[in-house]
Amino acid sequence: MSQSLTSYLFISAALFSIGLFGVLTRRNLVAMLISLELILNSVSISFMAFNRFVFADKSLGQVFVIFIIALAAAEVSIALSLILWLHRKKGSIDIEKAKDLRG
Amino acid sequence: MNDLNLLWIIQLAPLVAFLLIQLLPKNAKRTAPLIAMGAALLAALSSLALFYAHRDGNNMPQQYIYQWLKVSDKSLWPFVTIDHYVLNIGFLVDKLNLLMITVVTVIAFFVHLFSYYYMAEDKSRARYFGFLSFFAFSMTGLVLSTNLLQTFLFWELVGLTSYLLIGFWYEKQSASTAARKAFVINRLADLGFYLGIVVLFILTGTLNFTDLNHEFLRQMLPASTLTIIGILIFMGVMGKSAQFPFHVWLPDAMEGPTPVSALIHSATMVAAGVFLLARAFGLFSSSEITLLFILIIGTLTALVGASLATIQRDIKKILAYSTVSQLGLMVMAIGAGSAAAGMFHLTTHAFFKSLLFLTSGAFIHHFHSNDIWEIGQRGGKRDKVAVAALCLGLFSLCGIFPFAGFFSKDLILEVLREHNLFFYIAAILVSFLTVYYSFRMLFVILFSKEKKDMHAHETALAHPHHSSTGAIELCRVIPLASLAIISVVMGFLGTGWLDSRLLLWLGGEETHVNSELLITTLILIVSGALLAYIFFKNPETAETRLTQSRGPIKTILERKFFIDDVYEFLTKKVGMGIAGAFAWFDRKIAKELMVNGTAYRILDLGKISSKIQDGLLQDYLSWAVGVGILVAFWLVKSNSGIF
Amino acid sequence: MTLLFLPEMMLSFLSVALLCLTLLKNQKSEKFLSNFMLLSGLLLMAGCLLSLNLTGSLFSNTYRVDLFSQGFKTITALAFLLTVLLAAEWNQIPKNRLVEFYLFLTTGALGMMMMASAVDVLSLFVAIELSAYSLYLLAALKVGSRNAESSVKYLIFGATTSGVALWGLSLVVGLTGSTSIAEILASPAALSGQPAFVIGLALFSLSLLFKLSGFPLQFWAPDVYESASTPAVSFIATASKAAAVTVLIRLFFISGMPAAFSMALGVLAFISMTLGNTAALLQTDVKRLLAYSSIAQAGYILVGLLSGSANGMSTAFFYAFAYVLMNSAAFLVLTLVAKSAGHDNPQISHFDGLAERSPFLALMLLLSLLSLAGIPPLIGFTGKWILFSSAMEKGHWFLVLWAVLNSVVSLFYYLTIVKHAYITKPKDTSPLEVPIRLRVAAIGLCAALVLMGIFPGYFISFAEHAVALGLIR
Repeated sequence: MSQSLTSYLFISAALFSIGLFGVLTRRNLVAMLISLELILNSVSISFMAFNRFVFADKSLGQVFVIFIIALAAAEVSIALSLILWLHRKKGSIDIEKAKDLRG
Repeated sequence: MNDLNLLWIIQLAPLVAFLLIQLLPKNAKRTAPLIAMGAALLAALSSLALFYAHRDGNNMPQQYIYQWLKVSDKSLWPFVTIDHYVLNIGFLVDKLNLLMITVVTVIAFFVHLFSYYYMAEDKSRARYFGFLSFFAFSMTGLVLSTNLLQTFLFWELVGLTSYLLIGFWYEKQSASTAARKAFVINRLADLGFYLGIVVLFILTGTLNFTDLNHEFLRQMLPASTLTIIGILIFMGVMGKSAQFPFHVWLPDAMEGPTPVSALIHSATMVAAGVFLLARAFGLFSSSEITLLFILIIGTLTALVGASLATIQRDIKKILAYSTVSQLGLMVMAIGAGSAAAGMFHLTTHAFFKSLLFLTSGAFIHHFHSNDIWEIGQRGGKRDKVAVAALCLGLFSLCGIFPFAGFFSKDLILEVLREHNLFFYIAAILVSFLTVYYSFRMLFVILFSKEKKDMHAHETALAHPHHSSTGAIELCRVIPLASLAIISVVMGFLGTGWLDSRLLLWLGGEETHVNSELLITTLILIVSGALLAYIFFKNPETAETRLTQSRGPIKTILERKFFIDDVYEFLTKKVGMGIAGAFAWFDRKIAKELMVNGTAYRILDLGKISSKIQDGLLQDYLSWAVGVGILVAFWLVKSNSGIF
Repeated sequence: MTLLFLPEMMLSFLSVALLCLTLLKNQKSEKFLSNFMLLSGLLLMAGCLLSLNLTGSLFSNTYRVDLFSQGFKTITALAFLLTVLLAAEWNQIPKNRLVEFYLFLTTGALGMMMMASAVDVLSLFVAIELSAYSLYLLAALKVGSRNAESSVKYLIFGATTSGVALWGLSLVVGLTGSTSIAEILASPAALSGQPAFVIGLALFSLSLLFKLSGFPLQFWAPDVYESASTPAVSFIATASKAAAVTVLIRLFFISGMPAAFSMALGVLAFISMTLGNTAALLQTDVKRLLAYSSIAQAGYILVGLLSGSANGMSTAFFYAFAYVLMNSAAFLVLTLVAKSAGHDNPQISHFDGLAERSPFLALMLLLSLLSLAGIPPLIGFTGKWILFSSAMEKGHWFLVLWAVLNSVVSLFYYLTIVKHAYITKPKDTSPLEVPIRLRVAAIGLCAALVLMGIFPGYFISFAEHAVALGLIR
């Protein structure tokens, strides 16, 4: 496969779609989190691809990716603590069980 | 003291009196009658002064005008060629006005004087005198106005005052109903009046009386338009001057205090319509059909009024129907083309009718009854002053020489005879009936046997409970006497004895004594009096005979030609029916369908919106991402350069 | 140079101080904490006002300080102060987590302030994420565990949105080769309307729409408003909206808005308003009702924004400020009613007879709700008026008409609460005391609602001036 921008972008897009699909359809909250991570990682790939092929300043993409990794980590820690709390209350991490708030 | 000052005094003195009376503190209310009388006196004297100043009749008409509104928008009225519209307000002084204003203010003064006696024991006196002053203000405004719109303004004010005064004793259900009836019928008639004014203004750009002569009008507008305008404005006259079929309010208006009936419903307000006819005669005479219409209505009115007066028992009602009939005669005269004859009769009628009403007031106040039989039975013939005044007034009404009514009525008959024989015969019939009912009233009061029963202690001439002070007694006598004298003298002013002063003043021609007419009237009087005598020389038997007889004529007369029934049908069934239909529409369609319906649809929308929030996170996410992507692709598709 | 960064520095120090406080073994009393926070809030306010007229750029042009950003920071500081006042009064926050609450409030405020000043994509994104995470945690901190569900939903929803937005951002940055917003919007990719660029920008805007709670990203609002503690909701409702508006103005004001964008925003605004207003009609929980009303208000703000003119932007800015005032006033009353009912989710029936119990509060409720509905002469009316006028100027008559009709519908549910406050007899007739601090704040808010409504001239011209200065080139 030729190393071109488009192919990397294609991979990124594919991963993004898979992640998005996962968030939308998985019932398990942890699985949703994993899909979310997938989305964020696809973005990292995208940035690195652009960094390699387009950016003049090669540090730009890498800086972005580092930031993304850090933010993702923070996000996941918050998310996991909240999911744990929900599990303590509901006894399950099935998202479809949490539908008390309606209307 | 120039003219303008005098005019302002005449116009404003009663208004100031009204305001002062309203502002008086409670304990000073006793001075209210004096304030009102003072203002009336001032107004009367000023108009006499004004009349005297212009007695030679030169340099008139004079106008004192202030511009009120001016509209110069050509785009407003594309179908006429008027450049700009100007509305003025001001005073007009000419022969007709001067005469009318003198009549109005002098009679008003006498009525104020009489009211002091009549209302001496009424606790709402201050309110009464306030309203009376306000009426004087409105009436003078009407008489002195320069254009139709200003007249209309004061026309409505006069109507308002009439309502307030008819319903003065508002605790009585019949009084407030009568007041309402008067107001509503007048308002209905004024609709036509107003429409006429609007059409006239739009098409000619002017409402000034000085402009409304028939050369100008015939030049500006086609005859059919003039007819329509004339008839519309005449509708106002029909309401105010109680012409058929709008006459029904006048008899009911007798619920008000008698001096009010004297002032408003015989001499001044109801005469305002006739005054307007004379004032704007140029407008009415510009179309033959209008005049014919006026003549017909006048005739109907005269006949209806006279015939209904023949069966009334209430003294005021007799006089009321008589007024209706006489007004009809005046209108007939104008319809026949002679404004002078109509105004002449208006002048004499003002004096003798107010005299008659004040006299009836004296009887009513003294004998505590309106019914002529009861008055007679309580000793009516003993009140010499009142009886004398009654006779004078009635003779004048019947047109007996040498009283004022003779001259004016004869003039009308003459005018009619020259115009059209049919109407002349109608007028002759009216005169006959007039004589009949007048003498009926006189004979019942004079020939009734006194019954010394129920109100025995009150049949004496002097009432113990109301020790009439000298002042009050004077207030009773002076107006009666003055009006009586004037009634006698007035007539002569129209005849050759005094160079037909009044007639010439009004623009009429000199009278000539017509022997045929004289003989006809003489026969009328004699036969009418004789008929009345035959029926009523013994009032008690007449009374019993009347109550027992039944017959179609009696029924028709008693039901007042069923006109009131027609009105009731129209208002109750037709009017209420239409109102009911609209109410149904408002309730069902506007409220239920449109207003409530919209609200329920919005709530349904709310239920749908609420359903979107279904509690499932992934549904939310799908919405979010889905719409987001849709929007993104749509933006791409519309393919515009972003910035 | 440091003065440029004054408000943010104060917030950073404050957050560090609070962080240290969380480590302390013995809990400081609640009173001490609230006084401390109040003092800090006042100092923050002073700092913002001091640095109001400063201009400059920091951190190698990724951070821009101008009247626009400083104005917004003052608004945020105001919201912060009011939230702290409310939290001192009644918060349903576990005693041992109170410091964390204040900590997250601080970091959230910091994040929002940074959003206003960020002119570089990276700093903007970091700021957005900072404020977002702080708000997720803020919403989660509450006594009892009923709001676990809403916090999880909030977080997942927000995280997904920012993930998608980030992907869009990557496209944007990639195609234009730079991270500075000014350069991005002036680049050939932008000017030619390259499809990938458009998609990227649109997806990025979704994250801003999320903070604004406009359709289609409004689903978190009802649940979060209902379940989070009242001071937290107050902060979320007011400050994050204003922040979103600020960033949107920065992005879209560069050189007008093309018709397609206007159209898209118009449709979103239309649905926001309708959805928000009609769903609010059915609510009985007042906080949920206010959530739906905030969704509708987001619609109105979008109407102003989509006109793309200087007028539209400045009126949106003014309305955001007005919205902070109106909403804070409403939440103030809500807090006190909740406190007296002992129940963090006051229903409409809890407002019964408020006029008898505390005429002052009832008046405040009346003013704030009528202002939200857009009744003259209050500030809400003035705001709506200028907002819709600027939209009409650009010819969006249907949208304005729809917005006005929606205002009419909204009047119903606002007035229902007012009716309960004034006309219905209360079940609990104990008088409601308004503590002195809140009273001062309340009087200030009411005065602002009325006076700024009648004499808005100074503030409108301030907004116009600020927006003009905020134009990044």
